[in-house]
Amino acid sequence: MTQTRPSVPSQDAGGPLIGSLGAPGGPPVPGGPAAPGGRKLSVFERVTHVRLTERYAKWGRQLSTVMVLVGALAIWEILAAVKVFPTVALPSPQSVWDSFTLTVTKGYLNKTMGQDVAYSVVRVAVGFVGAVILGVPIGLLMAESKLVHRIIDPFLQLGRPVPPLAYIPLFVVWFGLGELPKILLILVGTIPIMIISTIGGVRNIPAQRYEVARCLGAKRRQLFLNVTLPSTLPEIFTGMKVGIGIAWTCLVAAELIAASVGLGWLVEQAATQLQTGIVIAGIIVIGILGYLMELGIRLLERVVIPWRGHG
Amino acid sequence: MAVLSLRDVTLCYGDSGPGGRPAVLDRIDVEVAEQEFVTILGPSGCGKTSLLRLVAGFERANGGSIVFDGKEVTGPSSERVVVFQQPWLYPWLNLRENVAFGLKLQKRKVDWQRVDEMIATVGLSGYEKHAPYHLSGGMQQRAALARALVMEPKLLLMDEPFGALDAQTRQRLQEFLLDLWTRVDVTVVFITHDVEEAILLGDRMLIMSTSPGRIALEQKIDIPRPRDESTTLSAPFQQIRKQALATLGRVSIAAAGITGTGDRSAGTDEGGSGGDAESGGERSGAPSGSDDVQVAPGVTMDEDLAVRGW
Ligand SMILES: Nc1ncnc2c1ncn2[C@@H]1O[C@H](COP(=O)(O)OP(=O)(O)OP(=O)(O)O)[C@@H](O)[C@H]1O
Ligand SMILES: [Mg+2]
Repeated sequence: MTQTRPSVPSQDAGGPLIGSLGAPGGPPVPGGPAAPGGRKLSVFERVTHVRLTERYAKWGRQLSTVMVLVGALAIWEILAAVKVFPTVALPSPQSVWDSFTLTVTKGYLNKTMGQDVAYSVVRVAVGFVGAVILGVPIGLLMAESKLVHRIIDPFLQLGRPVPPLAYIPLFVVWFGLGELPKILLILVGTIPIMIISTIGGVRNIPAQRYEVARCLGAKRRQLFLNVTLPSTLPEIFTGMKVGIGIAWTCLVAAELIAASVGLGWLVEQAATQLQTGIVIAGIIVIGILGYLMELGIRLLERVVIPWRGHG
Repeated sequence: MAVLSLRDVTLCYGDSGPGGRPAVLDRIDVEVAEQEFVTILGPSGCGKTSLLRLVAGFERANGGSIVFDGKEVTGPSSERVVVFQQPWLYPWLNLRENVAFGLKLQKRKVDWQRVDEMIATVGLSGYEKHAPYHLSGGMQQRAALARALVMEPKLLLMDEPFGALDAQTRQRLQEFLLDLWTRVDVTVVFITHDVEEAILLGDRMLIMSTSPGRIALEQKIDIPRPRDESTTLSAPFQQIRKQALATLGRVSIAAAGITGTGDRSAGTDEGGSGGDAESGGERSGAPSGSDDVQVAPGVTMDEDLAVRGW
């Protein structure tokens, strides 16, 4: 997305925070006019004919995301004001905000928004961390041992095409409505991507990384600790970035169907009572939280593997 | 006294024997004396890297024996350290940790003073804390050299270590290596594409032929040291160079002939490996019509011209 603009960190390396929400600065036009420094012009520059320095251009791209969001809000406001849809279907932004603050302060069906958020976040955290803690070693074992691979791979291949949501009824029968089935669902949904990206990470290690270590005297265990593990980290993080989205999806699905607290439950309950304001507020909160979680992983990635993308 | 001796070393990848692929290395005999600097030259695909990998212990030969320091080579060892064409530093370690990597593996407490001395020797003092990907290609290759030398290996195996660098950096590193070699007790086997480099650095130069890989010429280089870039202009240097180019021309024309016949091979009969074996070094065949030679993958006319210095 950004590789045509030199000196701006790429988004995969944890680029601008807002950037990946919408279309940052728009796609560069091939052969279009170029700004000083050779980079392509942003939407803002092309529309306003103002030339920006690189630093301001970066802000400009984030600004354009904000502008898109504000624009969407404005259209929503207009649609609600002229009542294109009945109010119960599309309440105004103001009334959604009121529903939100009311749910935060007073709560809805005896649960405040804070409680719903806390339950949902803890469930995802436990399920996702569990999937990483189990999935990475399983992937490493499968990559290192043909036998382990032969035993586990069939389950992986058969289990992968099953949408995690299909397990919900079974888990409810087995484990009831408590926390366990929800966390297990997240685990089951997220673990395949962690296993597969870990295996992929091991398989993609250039042979020379091992040969350098071997001719310096590394034994098998040392190769694993000093070459395999660090070399696999980038793909593990890629898996985590995909996995957190899957985990969040699984959680909300589980809460929609079988829960008594949590954001999915809130949205579901509010919908049955036609409290559309709360439904929309809940959806926005779900979106923001999911985004923040991925952002958290990106930040962690930057700390743990600053060398990502180099050699 | 030979510290490394290869006897009758034969290597085939995949199926060998009748109908299979021809041997990459065919009954190679090489002796390397202690403290000697041997350079190996040859057209692309002749098996230089394969030979080096056998000595390093990454690969096992199909036949013959490789004895290093009185022991049969059965696997890699920190006595025989390889420097590759690419530096292959670990990006998650800084320069200092990369250089100390081999010492850390040996479980003893790392002698950091020795590490820092080695870093100074390769002229990288002040860059200890740098990430390897923030160093230039030449600096990275020097760091890889330091990582190898700090192990105090008996044998240094170098596979076109300067091949990926620009001409100026390469020249600087050649002179650097020459100087270093006089100060460090190490035997070197150095592989290169470059005739000048092979003569400038080596005590002895081996030229390999292609398909199957064999030693086509063994040339002692009696040019006094210290040598530097001006040495390449001296008469003895030019003498050896001329002879090396003639030999390379011979083995390369054979190789070029191979690609030639391969390209319009429609009806050409690719001869058995019997005829092949003779064609390696001796024949000075015409570029075309040498239909008794096997196709050597990866050898193009351009590369051969480059080898001959054109
Ligand atoms: N792992 C392998 N499997 C099968 N064939 C191989 C393998 N490695 C090398 N070969 C073949 O062996 C021959 C010699 O390869 P090698 O890499 O040793 O040549 P080289 O002299 O080092 O060439 P270059 O100068 O291009 O590096 C080539 O024909 C190559 O295709
Ligand atoms: Mg090679």
